[in-house]
Amino acid sequence: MRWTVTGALAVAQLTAREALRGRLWLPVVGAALIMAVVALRLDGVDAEARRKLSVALVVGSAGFIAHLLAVLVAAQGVRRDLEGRMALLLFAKPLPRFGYLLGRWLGGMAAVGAALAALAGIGLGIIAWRSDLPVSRSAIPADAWWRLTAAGAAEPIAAGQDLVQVSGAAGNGVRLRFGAMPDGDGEILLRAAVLGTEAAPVTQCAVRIDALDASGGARPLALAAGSPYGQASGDRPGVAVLRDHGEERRELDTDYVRVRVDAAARAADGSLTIRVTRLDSAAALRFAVADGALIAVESGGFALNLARATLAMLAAAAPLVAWTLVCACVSNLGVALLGGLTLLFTGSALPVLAETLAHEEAAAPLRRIFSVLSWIVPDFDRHHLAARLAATRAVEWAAVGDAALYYGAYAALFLGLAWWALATREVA
Amino acid sequence: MPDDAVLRTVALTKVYADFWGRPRVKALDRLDLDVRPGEVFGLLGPNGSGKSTTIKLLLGLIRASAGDAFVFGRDPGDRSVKRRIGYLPEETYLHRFLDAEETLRFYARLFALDRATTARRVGELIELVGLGHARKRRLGEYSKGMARRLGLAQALINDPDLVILDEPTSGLDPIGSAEVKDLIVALKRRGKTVLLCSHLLADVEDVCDRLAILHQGVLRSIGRVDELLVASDRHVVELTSPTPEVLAAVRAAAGASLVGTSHPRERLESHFRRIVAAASPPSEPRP
Repeated sequence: MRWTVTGALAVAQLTAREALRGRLWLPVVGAALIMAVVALRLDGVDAEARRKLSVALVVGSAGFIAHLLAVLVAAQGVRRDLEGRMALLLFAKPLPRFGYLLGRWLGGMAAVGAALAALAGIGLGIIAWRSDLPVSRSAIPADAWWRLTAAGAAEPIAAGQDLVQVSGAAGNGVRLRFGAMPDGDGEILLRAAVLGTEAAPVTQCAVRIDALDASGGARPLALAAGSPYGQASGDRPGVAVLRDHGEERRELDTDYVRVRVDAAARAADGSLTIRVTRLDSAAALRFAVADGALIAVESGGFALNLARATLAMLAAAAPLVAWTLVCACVSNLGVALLGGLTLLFTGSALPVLAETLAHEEAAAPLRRIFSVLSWIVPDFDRHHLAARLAATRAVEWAAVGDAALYYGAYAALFLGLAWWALATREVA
Repeated sequence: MPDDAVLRTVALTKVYADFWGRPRVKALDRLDLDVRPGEVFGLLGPNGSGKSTTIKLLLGLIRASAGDAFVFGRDPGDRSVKRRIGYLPEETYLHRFLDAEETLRFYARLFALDRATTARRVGELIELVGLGHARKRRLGEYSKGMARRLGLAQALINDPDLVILDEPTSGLDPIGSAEVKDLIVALKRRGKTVLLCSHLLADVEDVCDRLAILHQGVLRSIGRVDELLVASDRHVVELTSPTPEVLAAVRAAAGASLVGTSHPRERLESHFRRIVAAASPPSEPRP
């Protein structure tokens, strides 16, 4: 163990030096320049769009360049040692082969981390230069949902059910409960798909939103100032208009009705129960259980959220470095680069592939192949970091932890494979 | 074979296989060898004779197809064994983006040397190999000879008990070559064991105690240099100030002025050529 750690640290330092002196920082400089030039060209759009584009540009570019760098650093280091026969010297020393691989992996991660930190820092400056730094908010989903009939009967929504749809005569709706509201005043965010019929298409539906107390008493809730849509219908208290913004749009600032909740609306245990009642019989409402109703709370400054996103991106580089090490141990530089990039692009395309297969109702064998693929290949867009930050949604520590576990498991598996490949290889 | 041998091989065989595992080349065939503590042992052979394969087997870099290899009585892959070995490969394979000090510090870390020892050894070895003036220069800017000197320094960073030198004078000028020979003699004086592979037969003859000649993967000759090079079927008669008459008499029979007789000693080069020629298949007759 001691030899593994000692050797790994020495090789990690060697890898970081190699990346620095091999001018692998040039792509980072190039990406920073491209970010600055593109940001300069964002004058033709309004401030809101400019902010979103700047954030998406910075986070997207940083992630892409860092992941490319991960493949380059890992492939180049190992292939240089094997093809340049430095491995003869290295493995004649008391350096365990796993220690060597661990060092290459750690050094690659250090290089990627440095690149990400540099790009995030430069990107933060670019965003601040082109627009105000946005305030990121965490969104907490409702704990429990019920479908309500017009007569007031409540049917709980089973766990695992993704959507809740209410239609038919007006007066029915949904009830939902948030287990723990944050202290002080807050906001509830609501969004739903508004469905009509082909004969009578509709895009909006009036609803009444009430807070319910323990005895079942209802108190109408008012819209928050600045709620982007859902203006109160006439002077009826608690009445808002839900408008259809399309299934894909989920930005907290623009695609949700924002309802103000004061401390008095909360129950003694800190929970909050609200009721949404349909007022239009012509429109059906379809809520997504995962994010149809959210509590939005401010979650640190943008810089902190960007830092957390950077950590999650760094975690995503872990399996890339490890997989490229596998490829570098079994074949030449070209194959190692191709292998690493294939994993990167396949893993980045997984969500699109899944959507396409679902949309096209693909044949069973194809779906099975995709199912296997989604197990083998890590999803590099698992946390939608660029989209989240651009939509002012926070990147919580939980996401960083999830990224570390998810990508860490793949990295451990790939490192094991790389070790097997190197341990069985003769250094001739 | 002595139990205290630093290096020992028993019927060591290596067959290189292709991708599908089919035997391709028999690089080493049942090699029996032992190298004793404190001796300088020469391993000779033409290109492709199995010298480098033997070294790689002794360093645990490749696996034997049959037979056994022991270094300090243990498996060559054992880390406690590798801690005691210094190795200079036939070409200098070092990282070109490091300078001399960084290179030696890197290899010192692989041996887990502490900071003080590392600093001392790095300073000593850079001076020993005459690279004091270029210690901060990147290896990419080194000449072949300078890189060779640094390679030699890295082989000694852990103060090894066994030093394996594969063509140590390759790329060195005559002065550098002489310094390397002096260094080998100095290592021997300090009780180190040296395994030396070289094509420069005069170098081997000068510094080696024993040598082995490999050809086509087979051990053709092994023994003390003195014993191998002596021509036992002939005698040298050495006289002091012989008169023509005495010389004439000696031609008939040895006389009173005879101070001693010995077998003549051939040069290693002619011995080597003879061994290799005897082991090689006869060439096709020309039409």
